[in-house]
Amino acid sequence: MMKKNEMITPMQLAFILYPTVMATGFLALPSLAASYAPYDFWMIGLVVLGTGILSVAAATSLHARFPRMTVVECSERILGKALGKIIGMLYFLNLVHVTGVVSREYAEFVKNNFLIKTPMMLVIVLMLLLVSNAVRGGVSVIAKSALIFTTCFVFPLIFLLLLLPDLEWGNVLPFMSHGIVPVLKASAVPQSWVSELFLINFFLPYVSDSKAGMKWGYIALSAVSVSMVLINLIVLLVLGLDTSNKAYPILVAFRYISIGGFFENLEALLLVMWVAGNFVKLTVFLYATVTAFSQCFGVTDFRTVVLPIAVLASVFSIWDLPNFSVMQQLLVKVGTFETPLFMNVIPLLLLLVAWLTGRKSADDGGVGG
Amino acid sequence: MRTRYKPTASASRVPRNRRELTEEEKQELVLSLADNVQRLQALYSNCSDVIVRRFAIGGVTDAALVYIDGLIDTDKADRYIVTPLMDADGPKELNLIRLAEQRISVSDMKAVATIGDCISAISNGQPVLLRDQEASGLAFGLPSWEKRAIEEPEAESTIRGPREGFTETLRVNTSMLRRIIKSPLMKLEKIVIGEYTQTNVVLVYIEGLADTALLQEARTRLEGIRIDGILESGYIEEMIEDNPRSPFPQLLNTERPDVVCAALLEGRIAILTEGTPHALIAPISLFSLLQSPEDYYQRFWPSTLIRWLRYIFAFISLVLPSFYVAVTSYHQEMVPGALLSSMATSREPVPFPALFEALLMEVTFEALREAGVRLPKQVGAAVSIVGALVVGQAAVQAGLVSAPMVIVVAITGIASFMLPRYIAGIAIRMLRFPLIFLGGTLGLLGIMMGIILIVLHLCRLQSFGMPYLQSITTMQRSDIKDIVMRAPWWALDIRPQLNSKPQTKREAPNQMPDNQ
Repeated sequence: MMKKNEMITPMQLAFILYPTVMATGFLALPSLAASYAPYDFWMIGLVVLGTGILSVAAATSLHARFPRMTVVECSERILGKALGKIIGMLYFLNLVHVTGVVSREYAEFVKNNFLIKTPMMLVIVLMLLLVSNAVRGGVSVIAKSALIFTTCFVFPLIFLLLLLPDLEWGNVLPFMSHGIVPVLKASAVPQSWVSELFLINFFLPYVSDSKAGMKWGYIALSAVSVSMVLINLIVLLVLGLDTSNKAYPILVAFRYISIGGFFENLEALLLVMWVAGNFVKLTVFLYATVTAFSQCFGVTDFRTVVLPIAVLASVFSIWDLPNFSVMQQLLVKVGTFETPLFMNVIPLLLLLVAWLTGRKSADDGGVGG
Repeated sequence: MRTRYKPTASASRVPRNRRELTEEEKQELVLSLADNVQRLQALYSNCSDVIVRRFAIGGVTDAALVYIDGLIDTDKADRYIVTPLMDADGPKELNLIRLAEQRISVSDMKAVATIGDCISAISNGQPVLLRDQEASGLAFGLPSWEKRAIEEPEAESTIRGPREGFTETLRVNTSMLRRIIKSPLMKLEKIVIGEYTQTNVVLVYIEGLADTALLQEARTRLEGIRIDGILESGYIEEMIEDNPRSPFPQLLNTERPDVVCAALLEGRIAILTEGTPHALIAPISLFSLLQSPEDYYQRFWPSTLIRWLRYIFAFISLVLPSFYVAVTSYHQEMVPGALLSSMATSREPVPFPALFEALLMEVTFEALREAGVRLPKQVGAAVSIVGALVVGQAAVQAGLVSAPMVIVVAITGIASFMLPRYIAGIAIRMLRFPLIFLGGTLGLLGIMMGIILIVLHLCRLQSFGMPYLQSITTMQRSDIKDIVMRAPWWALDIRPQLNSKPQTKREAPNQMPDNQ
């Protein structure tokens, strides 16, 4: 591309981050959460705010302490070369793993609901090819396409309003009959999704104004929280106790829409949402993966490693995941701990060490954490 | 991105792009008239249209007028050059310029010193006067050749708005621009391109509004063109595009002086080419292709609504056939029951799969349209009748294609006619075919993949360094209000953001009329 120093606007950052959480979240989370708190799972959108704030705060304060550096680069600064490289490598492994799992989630939905006879691998490979194409374009292409596809992703949600006549408001009752604990349990999985907002850290170096970047990070978080509450509420009000039995409650809700006997079967919209949202999400993850790899191993032009890493991700998408329910188990049992470990715990520890040792960016020491 | 556009590379390049002058052309004129005339005649050997008129100034000094028949106004040349000189009886030692100043009443006059100058003057319709014992000549601006009258631009007709279009004559075109923008800040830089055609190309811009970096880039790109001839602005367009392989045009071509002036006022640049009524405008964004000049002449409500209609139909013309193929092949469950049964009934006798049916119909439609453009106007009606009967009625009755498919193709066709820019329509028409394939092989997912690929391409595309999707990806309020709607003129107070130049105001504050 023409310019070396590509820049993105702070607002584009929000458009990148929103689908990073919601693209798979809006479809998978309601049923995962509903099994823990069948009446109260709509509240998880509020509970996860805590994790979200932690993620965005960790990402932005790391960036403020080490401007123009990603977590991979500054871990080397904080912990020294050897330990830092190990942390960077771990990030790479985690991210490539998550990229693989996300593309599997994406492909499962497409295969199970739309293209039943198409081989899963084809769906995954086609998507990863597109995603690699976008990543090779650099941050600015990612940001621009995110702006367009996030709009495509959010827009169909408006059609959920057509469900208003079908809402059964009694479904929210009994309210908190077992106290707050089931809600907290239910939000264990969603909070791992929300913690992915930490990936803002990989884009902050390209944001022209990092203060505004932080602001838009929080705006994205609030948008995520609000839409989680709304989506879960609609699902609950339409499906009630049945939610946890459905793999994709939103799909069922969309099928429910019927206006005038003609305006119905709007799953096509859901497919548009799903592909557009997951495209952005996978772009973000693949970009973060590629950045982690090239910064850890000192690759000068990250474009050269995009395709190989995409191939690696496609391996992770089928490796040890024989079917949908195993994948769900992975998301619940492993993802709940794996993602927050990398998106919350390690960054916070890094910050702590940096604060204790007083290390800051060498070239720009004036900015405090 | 090709390296030859990098600004750094331009410094080392030869600035002019005229062809290398030959040895004869570099020669200076000499004192002897016979020698000069002989050398010109040698260059113009076997050129039956070149005329050398010898005469004597004041009946004493030998002189010659050299010109190309048909390019100059011979009547005026006789009356204002030859006659006064032959009648001259002043002192013989006056040099040619002094003599001309006293005797010749032609306003456009310049001295020529080399054979090359003579040739370029002669071929531009300027008769060259040579005198014995004088090592320079004079060229007079008396060009006059047959030209087309100013007519209404046919490809870009509007209901409201000026009705004159560019012609093939560069000077007429520039005069139309100058009549609209009278400020001397509108500059017209001449560049000659084409080894044999020596075509005059004019780079038009408004000083202070056009970004200097953009101008420099445009000059560099234009001067980099080395080609034997330029017959149409299309030659130039393809030689200076940012991404030469893209299906989307990166320069806008227009026949309308008002469109060019609107672009100039927004800080864009225009390229006018001798011999074609099509001017080029750069930089443009995707939305420039979806805007009609009339949008700005009508009141803002109809303009806004029509703009929306246009966006919707642009999208329809891109995806409708592929969507139909995808739905009938893979996602029948999405069609409402009643519609599905009527579709199934009409598809039942059709022997082809939907993908093949769609391709067949689309290709036929494109062929019909192309035939309609190429045929003489009188035959056009016959083609449309045959097309309507054969492709529409008979094919459906014979059970070759289904009626819904004909409807889909027809709507797609109408949708693509709605685009105000022919070139934008072509891009969409081309992309429709791969999308039909994707829709026929991967269903809706395939179409989404195709659209993602197109959007990614658009995200990368640039027009003279300006991102093709600039206005929507930066979400600037000033740009958005000319895209999502056509804001009223009193609200369009800021020029659009082009390249990196800061935006400037185009209106005084508070132009909104008071609400009575």
